Amino acid sequence: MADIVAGIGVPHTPVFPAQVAKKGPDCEEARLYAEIEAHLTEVRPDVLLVFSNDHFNTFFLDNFPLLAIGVAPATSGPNDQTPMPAYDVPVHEPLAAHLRSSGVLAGFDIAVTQEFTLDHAFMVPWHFLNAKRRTPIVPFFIDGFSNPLPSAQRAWDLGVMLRKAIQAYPGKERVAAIGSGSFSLEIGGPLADKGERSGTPDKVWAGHIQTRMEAGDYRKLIEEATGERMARAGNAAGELLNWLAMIAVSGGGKPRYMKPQVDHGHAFGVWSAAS
Amino acid sequence: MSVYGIHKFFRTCLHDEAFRELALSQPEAAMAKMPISDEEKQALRDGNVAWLYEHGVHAFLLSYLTRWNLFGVTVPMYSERIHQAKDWRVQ
Repeated sequence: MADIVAGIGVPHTPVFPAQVAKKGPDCEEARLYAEIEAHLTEVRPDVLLVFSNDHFNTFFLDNFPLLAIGVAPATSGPNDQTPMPAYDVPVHEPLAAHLRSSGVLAGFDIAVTQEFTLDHAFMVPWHFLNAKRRTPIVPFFIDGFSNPLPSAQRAWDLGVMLRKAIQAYPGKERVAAIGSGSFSLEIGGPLADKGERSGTPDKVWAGHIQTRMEAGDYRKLIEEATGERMARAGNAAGELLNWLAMIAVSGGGKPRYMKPQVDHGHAFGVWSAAS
Repeated sequence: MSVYGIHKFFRTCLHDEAFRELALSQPEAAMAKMPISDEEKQALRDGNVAWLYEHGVHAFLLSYLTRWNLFGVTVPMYSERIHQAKDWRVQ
């Protein structure tokens, strides 16, 4: 049976790779990603199950899945002109196929893609956490961006189901889950900062999410994180769903590390895997 | 009105360099390649960001206008206009 060894939460802000390349390894973003990478290295993962949300790049509205998994030997990215290096990315195809089958049998209608590329939502975490190690990933797409979104409860239940499926996988892989995204972020909408293309409209909500996570109180967080509540925190605030799935995979405990970037409405976090 | 054609217009601008060049040099020809209604075409020509948003265009894709200043829309212009849009989230 495969082991779950950690849960990791990080943002995927597309300007971060270029900013860090310019500002150097002592800037705040570089240090935060480096701390997370150190946690990840410590748990020696063989596979990273990455929850993130496509921004109309891998998929489009001609056929847009609420939940999807990439089942292929490899992928690449970024596919959306994010200013960062391009990477070829190995995918753990057998585990991806197992998780998809297990999910469908458990009542989760998970779409499959066998030929795809990834946008910044997956590639920014790859760049900072995995570009050197090149640990194979299983890319899991949760719609956090195109309404109506899956519910917070659905994202949590998905993580609980995937946790069981990983534990039933007939291999000895060490699996770390990654959830990526913001708690409050508006891109291009009326809640963006005046004069800017984006903004962080609800820092209070972002802080509240962190408080709930640090208390391990996911039941209350799920109740509070309605589609309407997330929408009021910005049109990308549904990315919380990626974190909820990741935390459920890790076993639903309290984070052992969590640091916010308040002005960005996001955080960096590490969860030990509860056995 | 689905605004699907508008979404497709912006998405294609990002993913297809030739289409993006066409959208910049001959916007009418670019719009003609997409399933966009006459009303939607006029809103694009006018850079009528608030109207497009209120009719259901996803703000993330809509803000691609500012990536290449399509239809002459700059970030300050976009920002001023999007803040005039009606949105249930704005009290």
